[in-house]
Amino acid sequence: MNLLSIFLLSVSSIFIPKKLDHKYYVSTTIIEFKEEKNVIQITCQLFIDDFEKSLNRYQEDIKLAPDSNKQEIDKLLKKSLKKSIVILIDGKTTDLIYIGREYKNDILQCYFEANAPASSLNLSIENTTFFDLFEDQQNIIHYKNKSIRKSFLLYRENDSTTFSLF
Amino acid sequence: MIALLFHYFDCKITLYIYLTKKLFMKKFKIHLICLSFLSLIIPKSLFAQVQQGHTNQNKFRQLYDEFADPNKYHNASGAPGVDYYQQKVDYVMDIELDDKNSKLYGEEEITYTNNSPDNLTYLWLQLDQNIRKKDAPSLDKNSSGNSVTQRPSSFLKNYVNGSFNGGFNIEWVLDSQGNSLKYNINQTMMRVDLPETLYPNGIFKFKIKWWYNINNRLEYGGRSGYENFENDGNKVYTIAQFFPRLCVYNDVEGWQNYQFWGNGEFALEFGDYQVNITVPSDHIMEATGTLQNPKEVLTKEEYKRFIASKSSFEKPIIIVNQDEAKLKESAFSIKKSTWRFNAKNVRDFGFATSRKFIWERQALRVGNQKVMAVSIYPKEGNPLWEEYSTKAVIQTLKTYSKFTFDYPYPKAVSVHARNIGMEYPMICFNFGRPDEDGTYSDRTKFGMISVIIHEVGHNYFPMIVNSDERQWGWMDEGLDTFVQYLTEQDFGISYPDAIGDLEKYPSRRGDPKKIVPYMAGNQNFISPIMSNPENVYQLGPNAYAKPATALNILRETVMGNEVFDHAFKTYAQRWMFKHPTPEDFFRTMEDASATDLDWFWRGWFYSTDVVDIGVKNVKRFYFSDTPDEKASNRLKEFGYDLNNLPDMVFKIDQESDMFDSDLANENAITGSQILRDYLMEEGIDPNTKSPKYFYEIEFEKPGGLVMPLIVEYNYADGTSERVSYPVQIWRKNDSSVKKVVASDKELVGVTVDPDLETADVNLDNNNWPKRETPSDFEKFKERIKG
Repeated sequence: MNLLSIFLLSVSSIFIPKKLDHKYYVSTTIIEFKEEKNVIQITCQLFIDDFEKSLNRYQEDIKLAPDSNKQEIDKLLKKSLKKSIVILIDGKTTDLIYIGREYKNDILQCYFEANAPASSLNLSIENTTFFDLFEDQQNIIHYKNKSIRKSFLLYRENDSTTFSLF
Repeated sequence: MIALLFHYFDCKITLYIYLTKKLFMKKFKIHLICLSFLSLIIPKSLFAQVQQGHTNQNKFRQLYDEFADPNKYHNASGAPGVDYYQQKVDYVMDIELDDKNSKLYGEEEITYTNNSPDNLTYLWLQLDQNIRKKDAPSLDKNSSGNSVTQRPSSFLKNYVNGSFNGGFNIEWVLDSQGNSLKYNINQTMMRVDLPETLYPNGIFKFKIKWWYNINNRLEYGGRSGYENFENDGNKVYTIAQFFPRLCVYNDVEGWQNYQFWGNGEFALEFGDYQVNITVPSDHIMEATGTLQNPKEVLTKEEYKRFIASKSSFEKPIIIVNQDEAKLKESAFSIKKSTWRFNAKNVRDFGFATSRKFIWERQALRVGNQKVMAVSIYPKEGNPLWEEYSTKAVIQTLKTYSKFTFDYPYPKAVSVHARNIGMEYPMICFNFGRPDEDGTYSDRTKFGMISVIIHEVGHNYFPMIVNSDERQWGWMDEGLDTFVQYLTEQDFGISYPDAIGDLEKYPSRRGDPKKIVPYMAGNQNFISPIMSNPENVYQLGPNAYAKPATALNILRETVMGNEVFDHAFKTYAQRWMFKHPTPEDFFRTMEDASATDLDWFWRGWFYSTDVVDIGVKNVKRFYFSDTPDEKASNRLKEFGYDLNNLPDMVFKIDQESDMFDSDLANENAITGSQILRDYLMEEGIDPNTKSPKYFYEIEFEKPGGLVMPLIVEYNYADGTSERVSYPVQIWRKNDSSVKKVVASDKELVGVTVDPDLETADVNLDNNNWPKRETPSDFEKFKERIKG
């Protein structure tokens, strides 16, 4: 991890065409603004395999679906996702409250919630999930409120976006 | 329904006369007129400026501009034309593996037959290994900006070790007399200049000698290479794109010599292969083609089992078992054996070799042919591979043959190679490895079965239906992923134990709702399916999932199974062992089905439009003899005397000033004596035979794609009715359409696309009354609360 964090700051990356044919690296994060409840709901869909691989860097013997150790996994999941998904509302970092997770076939869905007053204007999200694991990881962001929908694609060179909530 | 169209100055008024019962049409002595001012267009700027015209933008216009013109090579029905031709290229090769140093040496003799009507002065060959040269431009094909994260291994590779020293070393290129031929290498392409013009029907023979360093796949990536097993010091080689191969020359591209940049795969000619491969004598090998000298390369016992396997239809015969393979791991024989393979009418050649291989074979019948289903894997693949690999191969051959043509090759081999799935004629390399303790998750299992089905399925597309992968990734990946979905579902039925408690096999791609996250995504990063694989942002969804889903929707929702299956099979059979283009596929699907699909190809393949269809409004109405204010005004405009109207009835809906909720609860014609009298005259009891409820339902289409409008109507008595309005309903109005429902039952709900079969990206507008579909988030939160 030390080695990794050195590069986190300083090094720009070069893509080596690494071919794991017929597999692609993508996650989807759905952000929904519930104005009447003053919250944003965050649903993060990750391939279980990818996430297991990512947790294995912390602890080698972790297995998902079925889980080797639920509490341990929850702890690591919260830690790693809160690190890779950072959300700012009107410029202020927002605490993500972990709601839980479930498996859907080969997908892990994790749920987070964050407080956001109905008067909030902008949301910024940085999503670097798995960027340290897969060279061509892409993270899709879908946003919706009652009336509009927006969508973004984040990748290594463009790992964050800011948009108006309305 | 009869519609009268009036032009009154620049007002366009559409008068609809509703005749909901055919009986009404018998005599036409009264006018049943509902004035519905659908379109009242008064361009304000009409007098200020001249209107500008436009070209045909209708979603249903034909694809004349996009399609290549049909010709004598590719005809208008999508079949090979009268003058269709393709080149033939035969190879005789001697290959030797240096296991210790991971080098591959080869000498090949190529016989090139010019079946084209053109004179050729040079030939182009693909040197795909050159993508691994240290100075390959493909290493720099991507932007490398300010990324905050980086893998430590990438750092080592990028800044310390440098890239792998790969690529072909061409020793010589000679003609059949042994004279040097002039050649020139441009990246991954080699031009060989012919000493004399090669005329139509001419044959040219020449030879090439080469060698290259084999890459460690897990370190440097790649479709071919080796995996190193540190525990025992052995390698599993999965070798492909390993020899200079002729490019396709045809009427479509001339020479298809688009450089190999890594994503766009291969375009190759058919021919016959004789390949002799020399490896350490304790290796076990599988390859494209039939083994010519099993007795020579196998032990006595192995040979006996090999022969026995040819008639083992019930279960696989293990030629080399796990214990035997394990024993060899430490032997490292210095003796050599040469395995000889012959293959007829294939477009390529691949092989896998290692002393770690366990080997099993089972026979099956496909049509009149006997085919060997073969699996070969290191012990690290067990216990998963011995359980499922051969089963997956067999299911693939059965299902794909059902949807296309009987598998024409003598065998299909599934090789276990960590992390990749890659296809070659008769042989493919597949991932799916249990953990070290031999346990595996369902994901590993289903991932492995799916990849085997996918890669064995590639024998059909593109190994036999030989599309140009370099230009059109979707033509093989999309079609293959589509039939893969059908095969996976069949696999679940054939082997219920394999899917356990699941209702059906968990296919990752094919189900319409699974493509929604991609299609609903940011348009800046979505390319039409009709794009070169090098230039798309998300190759997986673009070339695999979206076209596969589109075909699934075409089969299930647009065309119906029987009509689709015949057309799809016609395409496969027309183009087996030939080179089809996208137009050949599109045209055949229409030609063999009598279904105009230009709107579908245009929307799903040539654009990035999405499906979003919803129900906008539902209005209850009844009939009255008295016009409401809106109708009165309109009648006055037309010069009617309101006190002396002909027999007319008027539609009164919820928005009308006359709407009377008491009357609305009666039969819809209670308030119209004229209608009641008319029905009586016709001998119909207006109280029992006329529908009680009338609704006008407006559907909206914010999405760019046109699709059949699938609606479920729910009634107060708990019953429901499904109606599928044809896609043509959108041809004159691309944004909204209306339908009238006349029923004896009260309508309480309308749902668009109730089974989620159209990949609708927005379900918020799919219901009336408006109903928010609870998100997974809310459902989950509700559940943990309870």
